[in-house]
Amino acid sequence: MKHTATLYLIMMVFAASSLHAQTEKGQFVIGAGTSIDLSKTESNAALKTTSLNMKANGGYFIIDNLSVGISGSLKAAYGNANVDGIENTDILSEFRYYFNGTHFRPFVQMNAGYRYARLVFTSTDYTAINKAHGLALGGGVGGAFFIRDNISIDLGLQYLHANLKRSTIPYGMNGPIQEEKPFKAVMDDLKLSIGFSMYL
Amino acid sequence: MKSKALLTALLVSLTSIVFAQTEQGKLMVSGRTSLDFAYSKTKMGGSSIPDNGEVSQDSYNFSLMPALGYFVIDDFAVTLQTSYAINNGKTDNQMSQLTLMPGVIYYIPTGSIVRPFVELGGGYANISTKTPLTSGGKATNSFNGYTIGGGVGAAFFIKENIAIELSGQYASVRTKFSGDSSIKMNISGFSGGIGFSLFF
Repeated sequence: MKHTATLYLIMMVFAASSLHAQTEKGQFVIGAGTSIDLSKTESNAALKTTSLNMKANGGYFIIDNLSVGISGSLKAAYGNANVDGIENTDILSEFRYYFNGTHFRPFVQMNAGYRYARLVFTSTDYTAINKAHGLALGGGVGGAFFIRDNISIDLGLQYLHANLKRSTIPYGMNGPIQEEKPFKAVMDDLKLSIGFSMYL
Repeated sequence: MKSKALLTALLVSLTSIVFAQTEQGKLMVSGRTSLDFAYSKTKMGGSSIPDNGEVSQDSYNFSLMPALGYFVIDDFAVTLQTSYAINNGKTDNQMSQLTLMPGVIYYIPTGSIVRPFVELGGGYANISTKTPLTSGGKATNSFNGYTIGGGVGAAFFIKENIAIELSGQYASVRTKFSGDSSIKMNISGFSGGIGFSLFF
C-alpha cells in the first residue's frame, strides 16, 4: 500500500514536471505559422506581380515561464499594376508569461516595436495612398492548449496602438513639397487569432 | 560483436522513428493552419486627405486557412487545403477570396530525416470585390472558376512530429465573371516557400 502511494506520488510529480518542461528556462517556442513565401504571377491582362510574405513568431525562455522574442510580418508586392513595394510590416518585441496549468496554460504578453503601413483612403471620387511608419505598443492575453508535449494550439487576443507619420517626402516639379499638414495616422487594432506553437 | 548488434538495433529503431510520421493512419497539419480576425480603427489627417481634413476609417480582415492531410497508405496522404479571406472589410476596397483544393502528397521513403515529396491538387476558386457606385451603394463583382497546382519539396524532420518544409509550386487559377462568362480572369505563376508541418 505504501509502495503504491509512493509510486503514484512519483508519477504525479513526473507528469507535472513534464507538462511544465516546455516553458522551462533555455527552451525555445516558435509559432508554427513562421514562414517565407515568394511568388511570381502573371494574369491574362498582362499584370505581372512579384510578392513576398514573411511571418515570424518565436521566443526564448530566459527564466521558467517567461519568454522573450519577436513577432512580425512583412507583406511586399512589386509589379506593373497598382502595387509598388512594401505594403504592411510589423516588427515587434514580445514578452510572454505563461501561468501554471496542466494541459491548458494561460498567458499574458506585451509587445513594443515598429510598424510600417500603406494606408489607402478611398471615396467615390478620390483615392489617397499614404505610406507611414512609427511606434506600435500593445499587449494581449490568451491560452496554450498542449495537444502534445511539444505542440500547442494557441488562442490569443491582442491589442496594438500605433502612432504613424509619413515615411516619404512628397516631391513636386520643383523638389520637395513642404506640406502645411504632413500626413499622420493613429491606428488601434484588435486581433483574435488561433494557431499552433512548437516547443524545442 | 555485442556492440555491433546494439548499433544495428539503434539504427532500426531510428529508422522506424523516421518513418513513423508518414505511416498509414497518421495525420499531418500545415503550420500555416490558422484563424485570424483583426479589427482596425484608423484616424488619418494631413494635406493629402480630401478637404485638408481628418477622416476615420474602420476596417477588418478575416482569414481562415486550414490545411491538413491523412495518410491512406504509408507515405501517401490525401490533403485538403482551404482558405477564405476578407481584406479591407467595411471599406470601399473590400475583397474576398475562397479556395477549396483537395489533393495528394507523396513522401519519398529515403530512410533519413530528409524526405523529398511531390504534391498535386485542384479545386474551386472564387474572388469577389465590392466597389462603390457614384449613385450610392456598392457593386459586387464575382469571379468563379477552378485552380490547379503541383509542386515538389523536401521535409526536414527536426523532431519526430515536426518538419521544416522547403517547397516550390506552380499554380493556375482560371475564373469567369459571374455576370458575363466572356470576361475572364486567369492568373498563373510559380511560388517558393519555407514553412512548418506537424504530424500526429
